[in-house]
Amino acid sequence: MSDIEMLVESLKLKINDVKDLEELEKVRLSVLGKNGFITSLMKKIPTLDPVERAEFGKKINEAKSKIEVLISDKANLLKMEGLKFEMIENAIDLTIPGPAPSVGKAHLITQVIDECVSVFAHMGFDVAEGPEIENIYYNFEALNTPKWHPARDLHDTFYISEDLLLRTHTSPVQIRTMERRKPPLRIVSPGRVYRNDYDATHLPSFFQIEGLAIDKDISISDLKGTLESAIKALLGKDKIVRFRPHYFPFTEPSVEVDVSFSGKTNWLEVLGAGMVHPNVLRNVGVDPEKWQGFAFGMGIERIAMLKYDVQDIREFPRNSLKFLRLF
Amino acid sequence: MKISIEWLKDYIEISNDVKKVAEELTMSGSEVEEIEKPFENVKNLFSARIVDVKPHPNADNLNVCKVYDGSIEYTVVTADKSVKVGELVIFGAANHACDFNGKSVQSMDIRGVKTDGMLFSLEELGLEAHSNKVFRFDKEIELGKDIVDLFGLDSTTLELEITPNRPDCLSHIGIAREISVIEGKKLKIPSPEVKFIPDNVNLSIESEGCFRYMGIRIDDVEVKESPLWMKKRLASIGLRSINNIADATNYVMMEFGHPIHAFDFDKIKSHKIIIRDAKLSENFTALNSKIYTFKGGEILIADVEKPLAIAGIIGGIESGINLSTKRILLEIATFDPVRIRNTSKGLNISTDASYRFERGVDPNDSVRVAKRLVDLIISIANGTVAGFSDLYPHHIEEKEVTLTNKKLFSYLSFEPENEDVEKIFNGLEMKCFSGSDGWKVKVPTFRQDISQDVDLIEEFARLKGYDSLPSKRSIPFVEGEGNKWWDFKSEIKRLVLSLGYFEAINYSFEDPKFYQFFGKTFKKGPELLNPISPEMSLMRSSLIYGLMNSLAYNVKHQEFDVKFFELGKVFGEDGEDEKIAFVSTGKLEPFDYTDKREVSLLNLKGDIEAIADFKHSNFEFVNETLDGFAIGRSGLIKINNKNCGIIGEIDEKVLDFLDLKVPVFAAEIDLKALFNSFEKVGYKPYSQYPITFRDLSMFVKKGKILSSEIIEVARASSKYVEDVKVLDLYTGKGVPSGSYSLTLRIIYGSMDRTLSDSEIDGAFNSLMNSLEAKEGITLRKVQK
Repeated sequence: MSDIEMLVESLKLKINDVKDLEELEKVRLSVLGKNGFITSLMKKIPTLDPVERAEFGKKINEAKSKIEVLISDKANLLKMEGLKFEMIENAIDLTIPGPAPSVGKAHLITQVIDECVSVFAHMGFDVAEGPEIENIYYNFEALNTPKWHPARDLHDTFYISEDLLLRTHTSPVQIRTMERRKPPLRIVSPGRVYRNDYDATHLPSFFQIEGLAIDKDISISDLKGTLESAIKALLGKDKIVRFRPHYFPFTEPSVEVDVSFSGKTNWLEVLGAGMVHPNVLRNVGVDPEKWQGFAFGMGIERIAMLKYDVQDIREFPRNSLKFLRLF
Repeated sequence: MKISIEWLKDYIEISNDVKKVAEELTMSGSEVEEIEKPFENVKNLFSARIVDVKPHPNADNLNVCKVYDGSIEYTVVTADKSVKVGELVIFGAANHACDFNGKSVQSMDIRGVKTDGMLFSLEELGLEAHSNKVFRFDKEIELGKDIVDLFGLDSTTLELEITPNRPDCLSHIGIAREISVIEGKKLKIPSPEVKFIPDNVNLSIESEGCFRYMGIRIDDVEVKESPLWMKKRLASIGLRSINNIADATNYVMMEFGHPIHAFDFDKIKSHKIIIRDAKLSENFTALNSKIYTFKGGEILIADVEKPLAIAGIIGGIESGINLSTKRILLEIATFDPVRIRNTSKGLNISTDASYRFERGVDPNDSVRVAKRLVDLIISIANGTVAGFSDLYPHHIEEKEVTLTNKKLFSYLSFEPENEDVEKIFNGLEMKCFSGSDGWKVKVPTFRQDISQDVDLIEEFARLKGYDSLPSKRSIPFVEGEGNKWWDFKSEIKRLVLSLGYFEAINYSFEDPKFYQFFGKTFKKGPELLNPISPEMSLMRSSLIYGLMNSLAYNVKHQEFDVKFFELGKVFGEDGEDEKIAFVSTGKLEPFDYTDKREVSLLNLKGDIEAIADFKHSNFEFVNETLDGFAIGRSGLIKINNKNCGIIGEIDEKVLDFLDLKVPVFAAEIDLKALFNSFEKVGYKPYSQYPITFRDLSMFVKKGKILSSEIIEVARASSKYVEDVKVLDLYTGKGVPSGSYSLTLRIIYGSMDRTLSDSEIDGAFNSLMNSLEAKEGITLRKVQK
């Protein structure tokens, strides 16, 4: 190995040990600077004899470029390390909670109404709404529930005047819709209803959603299929549904629908339904010999309680943020 | 309604699987709510013999007895001084025995005598309304025998919910009939042979409300205790034994569902029964000892002098049966259900009889009921039939209902076998005739609920079982009309939620006391005639009331940062409107620790503007003093110059009423106005060239000029102004009092080129000049 080669080798080790850019610059100057080792060797070239000169010159140039590569590689390496160090200094601990903006939540009642509306909207039902202060005719008479009817006992009614009351169910919307729109039709009407009954399990005002489907040939089987499908969509496919005969003045036949969450053992009533009573159709000028259909209604609070395991119905009107944040 | 399983067995064979029977009844429309053991509380009572009776040493009205149950002798103290040595009684030992109500027997010290238990009467077994003596067996009986076994008290009762259309099911025979159809079993109805010869009962029907009235006179009755079997049956369905006559009427009512009344014949003046309408202000003392004053028009059973009973509802205290009664008049009648219901509601009396009459009682079963009743009374109270009269002015006939196959098949969506249909109709005692296109059905008069074809379809469907009907998912497609209003409300809710507001849903009732604070700000809502309470007697005319309550509830429960909105109805004398309202207090961003700001009135305004901006709408805010809001911090919200909302900081007085110690900001906007204000969205050309801006700071003196005017001046100052934004608003150090510092950024641009510096400087200088000329503005610094 020539002297020059040995020099390059020893420089390699020296550069390797360099700790920072400043030190590297010193090394560079000591070799390639004005008075650097290589520079002074190169200055010697003209003094050599021509044969030696070519040989020596070639070696020196090779050595010079080798050293330059070594230094620039090292410089790059040191720069990268410096950058990395700086980045570590400025690192952000992502476990620190973010300064979060507040986003509100819809009331559970709204969430459940929206779920119900969405289920029925997918089956082609339009949303229809109506007034909460209702004429006695729309709330009772038009729905085949005359004044003397014992079924009125089931509705503890708030009155504003002799003719005006707070609607006890969303069924008046059926009447108002059928007065305006001729069949065939499919509507759901969500909304607030009122009963003069207030205790640990009853609110004086609560929410219902009601549905109506009128067509030429709608049958009890359609009622069963539609409601089974809706209840499973709302409460889960694994739920078991049963239809139990019941009585409502505005439907005939009438049923109540029970759901079991735990096999066929513990039945919970979730909705009332039936084939629209011909008298109701007659009251809105629809011929029951041509048109028939089904109607149903269910309590939103009840569905919410079943679905989200809410134990106390009084949570709903309280509007505690602790409650609202849960859903 | 309660139905005894043991009792049912008189009319139909009942399997031992009571659960199955209950399930079948439920699934055919008579919902069984509970399977009860009426005597389940009665525990550890045994037959025992009195072996010693001595007067109580310290009380004259008590005896101290020794009783022997076959193995142990016990000491008891009794107030029944008639107890004699050798009598067989019921003994319950202290800490072991329990009575009908579940009350356990305690060991007591009764005036110096320690007792080991007590002697039982029928009242404590639930078998009698009132007992005045302890029970004695009337024949020899083994000692130490359990009373539950001896009396047969291990009976079962069903608690049923009978829907108002089915009065025929309010009886044991009615329920037995249902079971007979479900299970295909034969029904046995008691029909003893009793002959009535019309004579000796003087009736006069003077009321339209009496459909039929049958009077039967029985002489020489012996009014006494009922036999034990009858007491047990009545007790098992929740009725207490009174005496044999009253019990027999109740018993037959619970058997057939036809209420019956018994009068003491000798208390009827002139022995004449008049069924008439009540006169205004007529008074009457009923069996329950209450005095009723009639409004006029109630149906009464009267004699020539005074009312004896309110027809179909309750008897009178004077004409009732007592132990000295010798001659009775039995009433088997039917009245107008609507009038019975009105009277029952009007006088606020509901009885087993009125409950049945107002739902409808079949007048055509009167003879059958009468025979059964008379036969029963004679068997338990002796007596002989001494008179009979039957007036039936309002005849009710069987109806014939037609049901076409087309309708039946269309409702069921399948074609049932004729045999199946016939079996069900016949089981319900309806004669039916099948023709080529359907059925003709004779409906018995106890089924007043059946009058149309759909009623017959229901009978078939419920007894066939809904579970066995097909289930289809194929209702035909109908073109919907959509609901833009509903969609709009949903969109607004989502938008407001994203601004950090939680949705509250409050009652629509309001406290008039709270309303008063808002005086002229909101119109008064309608009042309820029958509110739950005075605090809930008004319909809300603003959503802010309820929101304030919700906010207060949360603040009081350590939730100090509250932003609520509610979307709902408010009510006025002229109808109802939908509104959206907001309340806020506490930190602006409670979960952002880099943001320490508290909510301010302008933040609330900003949120509302964000909603408007989102839908390209434009709201105007105008200061206005409003009742219920802080002075100088409230105003109206206008859209297109029309008032459509309010905004402000809630007044101290309101906060005090709610016991709140924090500032609260509130706003309310009419939803319809909001809906109508939304601009139709579409493409508009916008500048493709760079913009330039200039910022401008100034002191603005309050009351001299509105900031909206300043911004308007800036906007109108040059055709190159694209937008004007507020960069900063500041009051405090360095700002003269009564003024605020406002910094605006004026954005300049052009649709067709990049503006030159000299164009912008020219426009900006002219703006500065015009602002400087305005009173109340002092320009501070200019920044390029």
